[in-house]
Amino acid sequence: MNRSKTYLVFFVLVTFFLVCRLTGLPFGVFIVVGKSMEPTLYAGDLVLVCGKDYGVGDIVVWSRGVFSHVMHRVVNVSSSYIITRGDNNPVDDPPVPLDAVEGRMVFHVPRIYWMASVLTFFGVYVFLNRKHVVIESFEKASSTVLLTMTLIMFSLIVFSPIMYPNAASVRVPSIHLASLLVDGGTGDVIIKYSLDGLWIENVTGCMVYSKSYSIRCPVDSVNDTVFVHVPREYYSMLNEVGERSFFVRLNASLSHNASLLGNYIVYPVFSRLRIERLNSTVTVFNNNIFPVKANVTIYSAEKVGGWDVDSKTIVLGSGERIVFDLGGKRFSYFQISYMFAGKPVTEKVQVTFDDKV
Amino acid sequence: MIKSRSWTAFAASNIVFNLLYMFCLVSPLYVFFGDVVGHIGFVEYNVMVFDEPFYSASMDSIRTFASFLLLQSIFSIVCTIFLYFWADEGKTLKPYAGIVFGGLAASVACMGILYGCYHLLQMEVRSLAVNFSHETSAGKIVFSGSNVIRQPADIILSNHLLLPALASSIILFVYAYTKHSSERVEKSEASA
Repeated sequence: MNRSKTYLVFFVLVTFFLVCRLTGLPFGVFIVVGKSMEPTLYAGDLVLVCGKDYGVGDIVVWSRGVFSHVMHRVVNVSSSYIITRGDNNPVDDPPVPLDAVEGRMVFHVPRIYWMASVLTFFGVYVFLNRKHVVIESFEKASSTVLLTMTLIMFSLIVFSPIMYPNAASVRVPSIHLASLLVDGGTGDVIIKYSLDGLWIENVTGCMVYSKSYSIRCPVDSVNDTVFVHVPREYYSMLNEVGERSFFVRLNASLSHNASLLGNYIVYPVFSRLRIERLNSTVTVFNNNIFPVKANVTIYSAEKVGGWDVDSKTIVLGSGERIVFDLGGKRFSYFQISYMFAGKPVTEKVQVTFDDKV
Repeated sequence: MIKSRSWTAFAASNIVFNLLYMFCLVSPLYVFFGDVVGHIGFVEYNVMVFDEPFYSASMDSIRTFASFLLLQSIFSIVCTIFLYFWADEGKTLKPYAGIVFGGLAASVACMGILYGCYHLLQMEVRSLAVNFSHETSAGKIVFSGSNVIRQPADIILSNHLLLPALASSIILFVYAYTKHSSERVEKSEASA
């Protein structure tokens, strides 16, 4: 083949690849750059792309512009877009419209094979034409060097690197609040976190505060959960002043030399005392986390007008119940007074044994 | 070997320029400590962000272009050595000088690419040298941040020290070649 024919073949090949690249025809040759597809593809591998019949598991090339392409594996296909992911990437790429897909990888040539072949060919060519190469190329050296540089730069741009999106490369570890609840039995505030690359090493400080009271609380942490031991008396104080919520301020040291400054609002459940009458007995339940102090007065009489009054102060512990037996008299009333949500509450239960009166 | 002082000055200047150029390409420009650990350079980068390897499309492109710039620089040094040690002032100087001139012209073109890559690299560094502290539903997560330490190669590039080095090489080359040509004309006239 003489020189003009060689140039013609070279020109036709370059034109063909350029037309494919610019018009989006599903055919092209790419050089892999980057590590996102390791160990399947390595930087420098030569890849032939042909056809658009791809499915989940195939490696496709999608375009982010004429000079920017991504070669990743398909992990999901829908009617309007596909999801791809580099074999070596931690997360999926953003959804790719179907028309951005340029084609499917048919085969690839590892860099060691094609580079060795080209270098061998070049070496043999130079050796066989050593006299011409030394003399002729030196005479046209300056233009040859510039032309070569230009061609290489042009090739670099045309056979643009196969890249992966920047967004997928940096993953900042984080921690999120999964749940926050108050243990009805112990009064502990249980804070559960969703960990994403970070973990709690220890809790350095914790304060529980409201408009009226603030106290430091002991804390335990187990894996992703922090237990804030709020004293029952604190709930009792809140109930006395009528506050229905409080805040937990937490400082924790995390992995990666990070720290967490959390400030959470907690709404504990406050409920009135539950009073149930059954025959001649009255039962008082305290369903709150905290103890409730109450004044109980029992009015009883054999006949109208002559009331016996029996008053006493009781403290109902958390979850505790007290049963009062009012039997023995024809008429009786049960009255209980206590503080609820900052206001005095009085409840009265009439117990009448003689229905004729 | 050429014994002219002007050619010696040019050869020394061009080799120094290209060695500086290669140093800037090969050595790291920035070293990171803290949340981001590693180093970033033109032809190689190795960065771990929160113990996970960092990959960047821009950095991979920069590496590709920088590898080519490195080859050009090596080529330029080799040509200068050929010119200085092997060229005969009377016969083969012209083709060797042509190659060296081509290399110098390519260096001028490559300087633009180098600074383009440098600009991209700085953008990547800026994106890494941020504090990753953020707020989530759990509260404020405070990271210790990253420290970036500039390396000598970055000081050379940011102060544009390569430009006067390249300019002096070109000036010395033009001076040496002009002087050589005029001497040859004088000799030929004298012999005539």
